[in-house]
Amino acid sequence: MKQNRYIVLLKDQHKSSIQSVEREFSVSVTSSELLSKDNRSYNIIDNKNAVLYKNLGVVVVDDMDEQQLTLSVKDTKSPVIWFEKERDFFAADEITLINELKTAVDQLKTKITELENFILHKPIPQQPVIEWQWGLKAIGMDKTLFTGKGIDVCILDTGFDISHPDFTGRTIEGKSFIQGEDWDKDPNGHGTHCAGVACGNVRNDTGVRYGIAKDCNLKIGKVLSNSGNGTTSSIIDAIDWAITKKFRIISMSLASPVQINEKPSVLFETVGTRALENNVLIIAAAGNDSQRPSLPAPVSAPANSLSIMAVAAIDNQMKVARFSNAGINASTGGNINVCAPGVDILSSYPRKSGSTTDYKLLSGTSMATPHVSGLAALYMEQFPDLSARQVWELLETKAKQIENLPYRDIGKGLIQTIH
Amino acid sequence: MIIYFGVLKEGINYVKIKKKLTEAGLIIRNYYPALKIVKFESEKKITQADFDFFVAIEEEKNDFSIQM
Repeated sequence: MKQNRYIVLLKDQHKSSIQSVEREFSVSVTSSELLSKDNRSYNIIDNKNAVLYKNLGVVVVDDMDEQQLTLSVKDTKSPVIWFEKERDFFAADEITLINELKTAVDQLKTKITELENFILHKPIPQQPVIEWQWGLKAIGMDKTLFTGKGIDVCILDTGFDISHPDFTGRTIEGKSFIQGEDWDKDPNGHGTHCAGVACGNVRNDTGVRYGIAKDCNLKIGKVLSNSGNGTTSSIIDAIDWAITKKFRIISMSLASPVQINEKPSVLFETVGTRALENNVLIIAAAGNDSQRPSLPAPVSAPANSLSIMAVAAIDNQMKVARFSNAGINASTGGNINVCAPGVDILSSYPRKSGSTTDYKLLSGTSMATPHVSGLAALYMEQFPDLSARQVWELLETKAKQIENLPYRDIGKGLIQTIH
Repeated sequence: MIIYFGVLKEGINYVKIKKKLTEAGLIIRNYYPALKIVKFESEKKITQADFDFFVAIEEEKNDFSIQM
């Protein structure tokens, strides 16, 4: 603990004055003449021993009674005429440093106050909080920033309602393979719904996101009539068109039922193989011919071809959809590859007379299929060097198994984004 | 008229078999180079056994439909 040291100024250095101080303050005074390198002042001075600096007429001593010193100064008979506590002195540069530190602290306080004001009063971000349709959340869309940008996704279906407000401003290429019916109209609505799931964005009324590859290049091939039916000719014509145009993904939410033990079509097996050789991935609906819990129907054509990806449907309780076909003809091909959301799926829909909405909830493996197609576009954007076949493998590798659902029903499981 | 799709065997040149198809009375509707598939029509029933340069011949189906 630091002691208080006092500097006591005497009016003279007579022996009687020194003795008076020694008596009055109960200290022994040593003259500075007796100091040497072996007898330093700091080794002497304490509360019982003082040092008298002869040249200055000053006594230095520790822990004096300050009240007594004050009385001595006032007493004209006392040899003490002034006293003060020892002071600490700093070199000039140290004082400057302390002053600079004080200034810096003041500036920091100002900055902290400014930052505090900014945080407390900053505006709410312009970007709305995104909400997601259940299907998109189920596949992890809320965890990825990829949008399918630059990837050509071709929807082969009933056409597309080009006037749908969510697609205003997008460049959409299309072709009709149905005589007398246009690709850019969709009285049926099925094609617009599927295109919305794979390539749409957010609802223009609520801002809820329902589409996956919102920045992909949307291509439309009308292969199903307005009544929702089609032929081998229209499908083959459209696939050939899509491959020739080098589109990367062909999404087919269509099917033709097959019998148990029926072998897959060599025609479609060849088409799928040729597509993969041309770096095009064909994804197709497994079909809706089942009535579970009865034995499900086998995967329909063309999804039953080994070279075409087959998609089953699940609901938001992570149960296989009652209508979703299964890998019944496993010995001849026709397994399910993956599953995707396919029950109560909201997406874009043509506004029909009397309707007040541009959206509709639909269910089917038709709805599950474009989930896979949209996600494939995200993968292709994320991993541009992967071939179509490798993207297929990755979709299966990253898919999540669902508890209690067998491979027969959902293949490798529920598709997932990679983040 | 029945529409068929013939899947060409590996190494078969379409130009060389086109004449054989027309000589057999078939009406060629399309050839898909990227797929190596020929679409043709015939009034009579055609099977793969009729032409050795096809790996398969399939009749057109018209029961493809939306799945919802």
